[in-house]
Amino acid sequence: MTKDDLKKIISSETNLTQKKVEEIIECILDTIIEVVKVDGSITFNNFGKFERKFKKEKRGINPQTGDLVLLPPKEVFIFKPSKNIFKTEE
Amino acid sequence: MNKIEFIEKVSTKTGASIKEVELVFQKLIEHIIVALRDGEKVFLSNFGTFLPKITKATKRYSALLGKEIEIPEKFTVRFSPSSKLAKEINIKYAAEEPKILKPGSEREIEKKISIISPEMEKERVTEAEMGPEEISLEEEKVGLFDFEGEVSDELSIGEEILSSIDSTEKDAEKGLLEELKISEKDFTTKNEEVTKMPDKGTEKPKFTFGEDLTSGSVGSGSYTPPPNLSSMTSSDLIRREGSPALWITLVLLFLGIIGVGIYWALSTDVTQIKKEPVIERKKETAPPVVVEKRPVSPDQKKIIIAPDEFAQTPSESELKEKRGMIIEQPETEKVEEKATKSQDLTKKETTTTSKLISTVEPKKTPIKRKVVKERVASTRKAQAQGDFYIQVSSTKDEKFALSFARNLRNKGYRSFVESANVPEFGLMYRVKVGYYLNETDLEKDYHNLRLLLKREDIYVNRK
Repeated sequence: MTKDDLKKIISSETNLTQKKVEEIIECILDTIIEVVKVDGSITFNNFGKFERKFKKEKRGINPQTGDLVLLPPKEVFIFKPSKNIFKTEE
Repeated sequence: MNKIEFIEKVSTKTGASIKEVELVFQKLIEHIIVALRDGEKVFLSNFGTFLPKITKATKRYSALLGKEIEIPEKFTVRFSPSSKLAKEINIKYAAEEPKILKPGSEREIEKKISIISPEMEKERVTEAEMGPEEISLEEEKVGLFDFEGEVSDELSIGEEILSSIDSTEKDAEKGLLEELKISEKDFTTKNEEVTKMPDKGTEKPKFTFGEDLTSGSVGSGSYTPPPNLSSMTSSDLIRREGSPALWITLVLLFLGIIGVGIYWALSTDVTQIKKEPVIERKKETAPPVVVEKRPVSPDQKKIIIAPDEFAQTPSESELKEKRGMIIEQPETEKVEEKATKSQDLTKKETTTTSKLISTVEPKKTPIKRKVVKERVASTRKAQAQGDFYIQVSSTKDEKFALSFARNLRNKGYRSFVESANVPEFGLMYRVKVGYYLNETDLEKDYHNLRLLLKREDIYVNRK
């Protein structure tokens, strides 16, 4: 399933043009990223939580050279699915 | 941020109404969920992929219930962000690079070796390529120089002959040519013998020599280099001396090989001859040992079994009544007397005697009570330091008490057995641990023994 498939299905169901649906979908995804960048997280009921998470620096080994390396800290984009993600329709 | 706020934001960005955005958003989530439930990936470019995952049904042990619980299979979703998104979010720490705390030791060395080895190989290759070439050139030069001298030497003889006969007659020329060819052959053979070591030197000069000869012979004496007597003598000497040396070496090798062969043949013969007397000696040595044993065995029997009865030579019926073993003994003795010459029977005798000894010996079992007393004495001597002791059990069985004490001793407790006359029960054997000076050690051992034996009959007492 890709963006195009979703666009076609949604446009057929809602009497909206494919262009408009595509615009809206892309805008939704961009806003999610923006909000996560600024605030840190968004939650949608019965779907999940998009989150930004800080990860500490950690030790590692470079397998090519065998050096013991201290990897720098990171910030990661995470999605946590809600418990009810598959329960709604059952 | 709420859902409503989020939708408002989107509507302001796009210019679409809130209803439309809400509808699209709901439909989007629904279709994503449906696709995931069917087991499809959902790939959104510049955002990420949603992967459905099913965990298998397993069995786990729960400590609360004390049972195994079956856990059913679960549906979950994994999300992996796109590389663009990951970079956007990790802007803060993107510039930082990993610091090397400790350089790799083993792998670096391996790499260094691998880096050096091809270079070394190249160097070696260059050496291998360059070296032989130089040497070969020198060899060739040497060979040529030698050859020219030699050629000049031998051809000069021909020239002299020609000059003496006046080279007008063609028959004479032909004969001379034949002679020269023969000399050439001889020369080649000699040259091969001399220059066996460098292979390259032999082949190339041959051709040069042949060409020179043909051209020179046809052209009738175009050989310019004059003969030198000194060079002749030296070269001849070298040739004549070089060849026999090789022959001598070859002959010596042959002789050595033949000698080794003869030695082998002789050695095999010697071994065969030697082995036989060894066996004979063994045969000779074996019987006297048996002869020595024979007088011993009856003596032992006499000692073990009642000697007075044996001296009187009692009847077989009486012996049968007493012991089954004694009936066999006279028979075996008879067999021994008969089988004095043969070796095979001697072995049987030895086996029979050993059996008899083994059967008779265990009847000399020592009395156990003596052992008990000795043990008690030894333990008392070793542990007669304190007054306190722990009594573990008291029984009427000696064996049980001893085994119990032994087990405790193996586990690290200083245990021993004491016998005592109890008025109501009679003679009792008490298993005790100790004679402790400190109370702390006593308490420790007391609690440990309680836990170990799972009993509460144990109690502490003083002497």
